[in-house]
Amino acid sequence: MNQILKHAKPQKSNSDITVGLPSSMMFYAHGELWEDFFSKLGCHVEKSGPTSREILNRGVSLCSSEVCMPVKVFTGHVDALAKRTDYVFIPRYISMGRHEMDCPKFCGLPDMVRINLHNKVNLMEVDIDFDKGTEKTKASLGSISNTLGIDYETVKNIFVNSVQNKLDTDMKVGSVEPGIKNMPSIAVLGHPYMIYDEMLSMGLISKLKQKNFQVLTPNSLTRNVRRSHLPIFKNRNFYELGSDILGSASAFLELPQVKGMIYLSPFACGIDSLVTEFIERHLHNTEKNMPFMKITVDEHTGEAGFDTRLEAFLDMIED
Amino acid sequence: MKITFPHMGDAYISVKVLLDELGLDYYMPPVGSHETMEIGIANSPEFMCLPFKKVLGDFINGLNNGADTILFGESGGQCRMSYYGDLMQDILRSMGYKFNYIHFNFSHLTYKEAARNLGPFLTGKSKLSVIKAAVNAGWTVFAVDKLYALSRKIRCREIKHGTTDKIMREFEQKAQTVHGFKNIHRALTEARKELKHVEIDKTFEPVKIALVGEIFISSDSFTNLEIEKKLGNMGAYVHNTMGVSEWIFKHFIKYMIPFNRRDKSIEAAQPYMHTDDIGGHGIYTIGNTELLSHGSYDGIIQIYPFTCMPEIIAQTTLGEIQRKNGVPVMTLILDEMTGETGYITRLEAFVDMLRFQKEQKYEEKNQKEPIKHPKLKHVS
Ligand code: SF4
Ligand code: SF4
Repeated sequence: MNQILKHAKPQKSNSDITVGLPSSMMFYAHGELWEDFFSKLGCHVEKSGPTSREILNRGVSLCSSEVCMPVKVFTGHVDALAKRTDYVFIPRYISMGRHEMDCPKFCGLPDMVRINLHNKVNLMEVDIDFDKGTEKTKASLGSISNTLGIDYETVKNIFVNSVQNKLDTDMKVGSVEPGIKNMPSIAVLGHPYMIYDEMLSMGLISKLKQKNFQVLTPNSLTRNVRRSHLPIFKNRNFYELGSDILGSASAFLELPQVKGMIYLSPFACGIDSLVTEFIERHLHNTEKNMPFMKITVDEHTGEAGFDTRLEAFLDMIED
Repeated sequence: MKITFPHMGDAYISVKVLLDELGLDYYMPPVGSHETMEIGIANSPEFMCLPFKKVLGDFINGLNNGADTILFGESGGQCRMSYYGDLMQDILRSMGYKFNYIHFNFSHLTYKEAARNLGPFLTGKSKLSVIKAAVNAGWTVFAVDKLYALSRKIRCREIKHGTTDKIMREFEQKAQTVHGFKNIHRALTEARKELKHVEIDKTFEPVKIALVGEIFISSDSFTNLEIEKKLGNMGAYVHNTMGVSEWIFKHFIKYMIPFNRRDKSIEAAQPYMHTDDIGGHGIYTIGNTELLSHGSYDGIIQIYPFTCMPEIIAQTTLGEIQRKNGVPVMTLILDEMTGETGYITRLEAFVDMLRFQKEQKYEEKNQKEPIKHPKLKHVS
């Protein structure tokens, strides 16, 4: 009976399959690549869109309180997609390249989310551990090929063209924002999913722009610049995001138009506890007197208090 | 040249044997000192994990007491521990200290590397005497571990309350003051003999608790507020999955043995975490909880320092394991502000709950077939 039912179910073609891409965490860096990957596989791609209060609250209620805010928010995004898609895609980033690694939480992300959603979500994952090689990636592409019923070689080729090659160039060059202008600037430091998320960053970047500052972020620099300015951990394993931020901070020190730096950090982030400390020590050692402010935010941070601190910091710079 | 080294639980006993046998000059920071801990906290970034703060405190204490060389070992991997050294050196140098820093990554330790690092200390010593010192230190690691395991068995069953604690306190005092392998060996043997003579209640059946979690806190009785002793004195038998010997075994001995089988607990973690490594020992926390929650233990306690990334990931899965296997899991998160009273209350409540559950299980069984009711209440 079961057998009959199974066969009776009309086979979905790939264009009927909707893959959800949570617009959170590393999708700020690689979202487009994965969107391209799944579109080329013939899937319909659906994104969860900007973080809303509802997504945030949902994530907070699904996760244990110890988890950092970005993971909570991410869980909220997946939850929003779980209801309206067939699969939700979560990459498992372990290492993005030689001597690069990711926060342990990226390594456990698909599992954490699956369990926090009580196994009520179909996940697709691709494992990236390029420091060690491509073996794990191949295995996970294999299961995507099974799930979608597309032969492995095709999946692999699309992956190589849409994702791997682009990640490689990204690792080598880095994306460059349109030329840095010579005008008063503030460097905004932090993980992409903190500084580019309007909700989590309390609109920090727009607020600075409104005050007529040019806003520079790690993305304003090429990857080469970020890596060559690393004050520590050159050619040694360190967290990729950490290296990006550390290198940027020290590169920004050399730009005369940068008037101050703001580090936006989620409460109790393990990586930031190291990175912010290294930045502050580096600033101190170089004796450049660069105004530096670390703002720690969590789900309870109020916007009023945030704005007050920002105003005070900008007043100090303009004096 | 005077060496200093940080504490992690009872590891100091073996480190002392090693340094004594090599005839090296060293200074050992005091065991379990609140004062050194405070200094460490005051000079550490707020959100660094507790082990960092404690280790830094030990280093500062060591340098203040004439040491000029720091010995530090870690097991590498995707966690902050790998960067402890970089940050600590920077902090200490900016505090004005001058010192030699020797770093061991136990996961990649080779004889060559050890010889290169320790070279200056070993001049004039024969290879044989170096190997002998290492072997004696290695033996001590496992002997110390066995002694503590025995004490956990005895403590929860002792008739005269406090006997085990007294023997262990005396042993620790000796271990801290005497020198050389022979003397440590004697202290170990004596303590073992005394423990074996402690009068115990053989009919008493303690609730059994397995301890999982971050390795530094799990094995360091000072930072974990003596969890093994506390639970033992509440009449619970504790099995600690994360002793110092476990660490040496995982990261050192296993690395040297070419025969590479996947760890049992990593295997057991797979249904919950589809990967082999989530940094630190997080994957072992998951695997051990799964392995030990099929009837061999009445409850599991996960313990970790505030902001510990691998254990936060692991914690997510423990609720699921508890639901599936029906064994209660409690998570304790420690930081420098953790108060003793609240901590004891939580431990007591957990032990009471486990005891209640166990009694109920026996009662259910009793109704089916009359069996001799084991004594579950603690005697003293
Ligand atoms: S880097 Fe920090 S914020 Fe991001 S997942 Fe890791 S702990 Fe959380
Ligand atoms: S395992 Fe936890 S306590 Fe240990 S270094 Fe990593 S974050 Fe810190």
